[in-house]
Formats: sequence, C-alpha cells, structure tokens
Amino acid sequence: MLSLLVFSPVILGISLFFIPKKYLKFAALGGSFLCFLLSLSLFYFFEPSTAQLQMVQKIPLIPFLGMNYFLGVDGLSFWYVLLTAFLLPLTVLCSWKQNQPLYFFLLFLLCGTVLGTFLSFDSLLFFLFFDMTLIPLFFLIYLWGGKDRVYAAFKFLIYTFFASLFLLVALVTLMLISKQSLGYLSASLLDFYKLDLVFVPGGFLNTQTLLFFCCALAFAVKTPLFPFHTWLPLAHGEAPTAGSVYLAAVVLKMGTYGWFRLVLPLFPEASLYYSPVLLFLAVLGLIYASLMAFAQTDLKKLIAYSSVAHIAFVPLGIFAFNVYGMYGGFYQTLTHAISSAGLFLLVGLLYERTHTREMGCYGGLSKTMPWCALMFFIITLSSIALPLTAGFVSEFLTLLGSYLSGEKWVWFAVGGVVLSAVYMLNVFQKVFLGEEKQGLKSPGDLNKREFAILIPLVLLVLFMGVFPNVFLKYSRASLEKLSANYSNYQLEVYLPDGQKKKVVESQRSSFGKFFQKNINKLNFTKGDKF
Amino acid sequence: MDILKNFTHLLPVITPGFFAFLPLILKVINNNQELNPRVVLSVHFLGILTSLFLFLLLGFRGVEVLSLRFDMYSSGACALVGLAALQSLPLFSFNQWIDKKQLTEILFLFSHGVAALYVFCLSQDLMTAFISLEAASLMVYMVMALGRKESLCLEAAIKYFILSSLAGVIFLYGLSFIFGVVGQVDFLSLREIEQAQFNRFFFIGLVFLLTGLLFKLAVFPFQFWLADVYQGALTPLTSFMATGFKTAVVLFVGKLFQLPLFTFNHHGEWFVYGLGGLSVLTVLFGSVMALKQVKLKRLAAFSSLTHSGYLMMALVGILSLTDQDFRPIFYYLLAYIFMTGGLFGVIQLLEIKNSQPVLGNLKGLFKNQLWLAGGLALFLMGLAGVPPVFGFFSKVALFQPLILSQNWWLLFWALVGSAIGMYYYIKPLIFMMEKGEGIGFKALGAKALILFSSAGALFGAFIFGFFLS
Repeated sequence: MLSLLVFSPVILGISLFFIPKKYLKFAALGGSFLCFLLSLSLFYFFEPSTAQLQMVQKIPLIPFLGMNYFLGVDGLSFWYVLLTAFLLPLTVLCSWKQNQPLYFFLLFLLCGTVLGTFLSFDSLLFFLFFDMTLIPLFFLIYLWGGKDRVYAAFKFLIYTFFASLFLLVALVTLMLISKQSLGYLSASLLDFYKLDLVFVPGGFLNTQTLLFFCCALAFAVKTPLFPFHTWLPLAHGEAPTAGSVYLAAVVLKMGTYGWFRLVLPLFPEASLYYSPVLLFLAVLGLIYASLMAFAQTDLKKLIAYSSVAHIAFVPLGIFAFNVYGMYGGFYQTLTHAISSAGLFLLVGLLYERTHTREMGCYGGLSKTMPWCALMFFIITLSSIALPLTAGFVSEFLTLLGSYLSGEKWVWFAVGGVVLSAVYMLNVFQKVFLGEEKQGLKSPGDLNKREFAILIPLVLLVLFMGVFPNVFLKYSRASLEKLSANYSNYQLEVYLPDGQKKKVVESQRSSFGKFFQKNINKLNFTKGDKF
Repeated sequence: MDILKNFTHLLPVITPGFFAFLPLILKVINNNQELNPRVVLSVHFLGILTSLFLFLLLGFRGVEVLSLRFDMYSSGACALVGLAALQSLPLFSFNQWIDKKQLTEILFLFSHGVAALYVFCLSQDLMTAFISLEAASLMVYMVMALGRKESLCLEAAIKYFILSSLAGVIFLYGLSFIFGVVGQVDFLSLREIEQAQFNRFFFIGLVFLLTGLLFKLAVFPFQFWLADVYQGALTPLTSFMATGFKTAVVLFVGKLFQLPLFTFNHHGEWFVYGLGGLSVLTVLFGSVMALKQVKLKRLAAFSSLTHSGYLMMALVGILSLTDQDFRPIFYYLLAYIFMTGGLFGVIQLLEIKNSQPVLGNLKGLFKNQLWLAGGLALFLMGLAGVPPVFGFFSKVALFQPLILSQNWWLLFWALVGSAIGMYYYIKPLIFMMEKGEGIGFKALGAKALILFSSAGALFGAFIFGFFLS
C-alpha cells in the first residue's frame, strides 16, 4: 500500500510523457487526484490509538550496506503524507499555463520523493529520498524560474546537498556503531533507536555530540534555521509558483520532520544539552526574518521571509521538551504549510495578472478583486495567529510549551508574533486597500480554477483553527510518546493480530535463507581477503 | 601433467589473447583484406566475455600458478578489468579517427593489453607486476598513436609514452631498492619480512614504488599529463584507461597495502598522512579544474581524476585499519566503471558529429534522444553521488573505511569534493534540456551499450550488494 503511494506519482509522472499535449493538463490533474485519493486511504488503514509503526513493508535490499526497503507510517508522518498528496492537485491546477510534460513530471517526481522521505524507516532509504528531492526542485527553479534563476538554483542545490552529506556521514556512522553494538549491520531507524550513544556533557569530541551536530546542520539548512536560511528566500523568489508552494509547504517539512524523527530520539542528551543553542538560533531567526520581511518590497520574497520566521516556531516547540511544545511545533508545521502555500498561490496569481511583484505597484485591489482580497485576508489572519484560525492554535501551543520549560525565550518569540502582524497587515493594506494605482492593468477577479485552488485552503485554515483535535487525534499517541520517552525512545512494529507477524517474519527469513544458501554454495576458500 | 594443470588455471588469462589471434590469422589468410568489422569486434567481445566468466567460475580458489595467485581479491580485480574492457570495446566501431583498415590490429593490441592487465592484477611478485604493467602500457601507447588522423592523438601518444615510461622506470628503481634490501621481490617473502630489515633504503624503495604507481593513477602532483592524454586519445581507449587501467592500478596499490610493509617504525603514519594529503589535493585539483571545462572529454577526464582521489582516500582509510576489508573499494569501482564507461560512450556518440564535443553540443538531446539523455543523466548523477543511482550507494560504501579509521579530515574533504562535483556534473544536464538539434545515431551497439551501462548504474547497487555481502 505504502509502496503504491510512493511510486504512483513517479509512474504517473513518467506516463505523462506519452500523453498528447492536448490532454496533458487534464491527465496531470487526474493523476494528481488519483495520488491524493490513494493517500486518503490511509484514514482507513491507519490506527490512531497506537504510537507504533504501522503498515510496515520490509524487504532486504542491499545487505552489504545493511539497507532494507522499509516503509511504514506512524503518527508523526501521517499528516505529512496527506499534506504532500493534498498539495499535488493544487500545484497542478496553479500551473495551468504549462504545457510541457517535463514540468509535470518533475512535480510528480518531487511529490513521490517527498512521500518516500516521510514513509521510509530505513536510514539509507530515508536519505535516498531526502536527497532525491533536490533534483526535481533544482530543475523546476532552473528551467521555469525568474531572472536570477541560475544563481538561485545552484545556490539551493549546492547548499542543501553539502549539508545533507553531513547527514549521510552521521547515518553511516550510526550504521557502523550498530554493527559494533548489535552485532549486525543495520540501517534501520528502529535499530538506531536501540543504540546507546556515549555523551559527555560539555565535551565536543564524543560520539553523540558530533553526530548531533552533523544531523542538526543538515536539518537546520533544510528547515531552515537562522544563519543557514539564505538559500531559501532566493529560491522562493525565483521558483515558479508551484515550486514555491511545494518548497514552502512540503520540502521544508522534511527538515522539521528530521528533528522529530531523528535528532530528538537518537541524540536525546545532546539535544537537551545543546537545546539553548537551537532555541537561540530559532528566536534570533524569528526576529531577524520578521524584520527582513518588513524591509522587503518584493511580495514573494516577503512571504519567503515570513515563512522563515514562522518555521522558527517549530524548533522552539520541539526543544521545549514538553508535550505542549511538541504539539505546537508539530501543528505549526501543518498550519505553516497551509498558510504559506495559500500566500504563495495568491502572490502567484497576482503576478500572473500584473507581471510584477513590487509592492509599490499595487494598491486598492480590493475594489476590483474582492474575493481575492477576502482569501488573502483570511490566510493572512492565520499567518499572524489570530484566534479561530489555524495559526493561533499552533503558535499558542508552542508558546505555552516554551513558557513552561523556561520563560526567557517566550518574550522574544511573542515579539516575533507581533512583528508578523505588523508586516503582514502592512502588505494587506498596501496591496488591497487604499488608492487604486494608475497604470495597473485592471485585473479580473478569481476565476473558477483559482477558486478551486483557494477554497480548500481557506476552509482548511478555518477548520484547523476551530477543530485542532480532529487533526491532532491521529498524531497524539506518537507525539505524547516522543515527549514522554525521548530519552529512551523505542519504536516497534504494530501488528493488529498474531497472524500478520508470522507472515512478515517468514517472508524475511525465507528471503534471507535463499541468499545465504546460494552464497554458501560458492564455497570460497577461507582466509582469502576480499 | 603439471603443464596441463597450469594451463587450466591460466585459461581465463589466455582466453582474450587466444580469441584475438583468430581475426588476425583470418586477415592474413585473406590476403590482408579487412574482415567485416562487426565480426572482428564480436570475436574480441566474446573472448573478453569468456575470460570474465572463467574468472568468476575458476578464479576464487586461491591457487598459485607461476607467480600468479587466483584468489577472490585478484580475480575480482580481473573481472572488473574485463567488465571495463567490455564497455569500451563496442566504441571502437563508431570511432571516426580509426583507420578502418587497421581495426583488426588495433583490437588485437587491445585484447592483449587486457590480458596483460589480468596478469598485473593476479601478480604475486613485483617483477611480474612491472613487466605486465609495462606490457599493458605498451598497448596503450600503440593504440593511441594509431589514431593518427588527428594531430591531438599523436601529441597525446608521445606525451603519455614519455611520462608513463618514466613512471615505469621509477617503479623499477624502487623495486631494485627493495630487492637490494630483502633479496626477494615476491609477495610471500615480503609478507614474512622482519622488522630488522626495514631500513632507510627499503623506505626509499617503497616510496619510489608508490610514486610509479601514483604516476600511472595520475594522483596529484603527477596529474599534469592526464587531461591532455585523455582528450587526445581515441575515446574507446580513454574509456578503458579511465576505467580498466585505473581499476587495475588502484587494486594493485590495495594489494601492496595488504602486505605489512607500511607499519615499521611509525612510518605507517607517514604513509597515511602523505598519501591522504595527496588524495585530498587530487580531489580538490580535479574538482576545481573540472568547474571551468567546456569540452566534455576534458570534463570527464577531470571527473575521473577526482574519483581516483576518492579511491585513494578509501585506500588510505583501509591502510590504517587493522581489520582490512576491501569490499567498499570493489563496490565503488563497480559503480565507477559503469558510469564512466557509459559517460565515455555518450561522448563517443557525440563525436560522430563534432570532433571535440563541447557542452553546447548537448543541446536538444533531451528532446530528440530521450533514451540517450536519460542514460547520460543517470551517469552524471551517479558520478555526483545522487540517489538512487549506484554512485550514491558506492559513496555510502566509500565513507565506511574513512569513518571506521576515523580519518575525519579525509572525510571532510571528500564531502567538499562531492559538493563541488554537484556543480559540474549538473551543468551538462542543463545544456541537455535546452532547445537544439540533438544528434542522430542509428547504431545498435551504441544503444545496447547505453542500456547496459544504464542498467548497471540503476540496478548494479542491488545486484552487487548481494554478492559482496
């Protein structure tokens, strides 16, 4: 089931090359809906009451590297999967003017690889998908980007690729450690959780600290945290709308997912010891990015900076080490995805009409585009965390959790919330209210396609703000388990009844035996080094 | 009886040479008239393929014949060389500089060069190694000079001839020092060498020996011949030099590292730091030089230089381990052979239309030749180490000895090299997607080669992962 979910976008994307250009867009739309429907089937299979790993598929892939094809889903990844699949039809719809199969193929490929990242529980497989996202996104920016696309695309690629290599080093090191302590080479995350890594407080050259910083660097670039964020506004500024939406809403979530999935459970002592560093960076980034957003005149860059500011809440919540912070951080990733996707889509459609993103060129649009203004306003409200919208729930929970674990960071974080209200309302006032600007082509209001894109998002914003429990219900068990036992986090495969277990075991062992037998047959002379 | 027994053991080494004689004899009988090039090519192909299978069948038994030893390490190395030869052989039929009247002779030399490299991989004594390495080099000089319609070829041939024979002489010089100290040059006596015998002369001999080998590998600071020679040589030959020849030399260095030669009087650390430093410089030099290249062949040359740097890093990592495991090197070389062989295959196809293909010639490839473009993308991404291509898994394997031996500085520079590599490997892909004419080619062999290398690049990681574990 999960394999189908991961590979269906890729296969559908490849099949788009063989479809006549006339029907290309419709085929892409249909395919993307198919993926979304497939992901909805998770509601049927997923058991929300347990924190264990579900719907597991495990096949040995490269025993030489300890790599398995190991997919599974738990409460942490559940919503990310749905989010990724949900945004695919929207991104296809918003790039309706495209008629190249390559473009849609890259979008589908991106979706598939991101899904793979969220679903894989083998560290090498995780990294494989994690790095594979770079290629489609690079080409989306490079081939369909704006003026500065060459610089932006290469900066994005090399920056994130270099950082991700540190993650690879950390994962390979963990594999080798697992070989020493468990007796067999394994790249499975479940085996990594069993490891007990040496930690010396204050010392830098011990296993856990080094690995923590390697992983933290990779995820800090991806999330992005303050000094490592510079690639993001550039990439956002140049990417096509669909690319921006996917980048902000999903690709950044791979970074935040990494904190939840890898950093906190694997390196609990180091995370606790070095959390002030991360909190400091998060708060600094929050305020810095807010101020930067205030200074921008390019609408898209402004929203990119606001996205950097809002995502800084996530580490703030996670490294509060209590359940509220964890809830808040997690929910913030979802609400951030929805609201930043909405804002990027709105800016994209404004740009389509006027071909400028300079804030100074806009004014009084609410008269000609009332619906657009309304949508923008609702999503803005969520972005500035007004009660009854999605952003309020997540940011309140984050601040609460952060307050409970020590109030000093909250003062600054609240400042960030206020600043976000300042710059977002400023945008709304300048673009939609006030005098109508001369020389601006009178743009028509939203058409049906744009309604179809925006209405689900706006409804989600309101729904997530009023009924957060509907969403958190599915992740509660996992989040509570993580916050309660982060210091010795273990994850096991959930099996509804005894029968299934036998099936899984027998499959694995028969496969292994087969190869063992064949390799024994070769009868190598002993003592030969290979 | 002994002769017969030896003959069966030596069968895989003899096969390519034996098959190579057939077309030559036929040509002589046929009044020096060239046979159908396809027939000639397939006979040679068959010869190397047979030898490859024979190595896999007979090679792993640990027997010693004359001064050759057929164990897993050496026969594995031979199989890699055979694979590389199989990948570069079909390219001879498309090359525009080859005098079609001389194809039989060229391939005759090529197959014998491959056989010489087999001997080199199997050799258990430094003298045999020297002779076989020079025999293989001789093949390279001659084939390179035979592409004489192009002036670059001659230049490259002379350059390579002078420098590489110099390297051979340096190797021989070091060998003589070791012979002077130990009195023997076979690996058995070198393995049982006593601590008292390690003296200054032995050290000098060892350094010269390694220098000769590093010269052949083009490790910094002996890299200056590489780009010109690779660019000038016939592309099939370049492909084989970059894959097969390099594999043999790298694995021979690995074989030397298995001997307890590098551990005396703390000199072991000298070798680790010295060779490690050289490998870092190689990676950096190769990456930085590759950034500026416009000609595809030079780009591929510098990319192969970078990869010899990575291989040296892994070897150095293994050298400083007590429990030496060479499987990562084999795994890495497999990936490297598939992808570099494929890359040179694409370059050869582009050369049909432009004599020195530049990045701009790739324009329109994606539109007009989707399969070729897909293959090229796979090879480049694999060389850069992007998942899910074999190159990614081989990079994971490469990190293992570096981490186990805790040579963090080597690891760091390997990361820097890969990050720079991402830039120059993705540049051809960008050109590929732009609009342009593309190239037309109809050769069946070319398609088969690209498909074979692509399949290796895609699925090799999983297939060979099983065999190595």
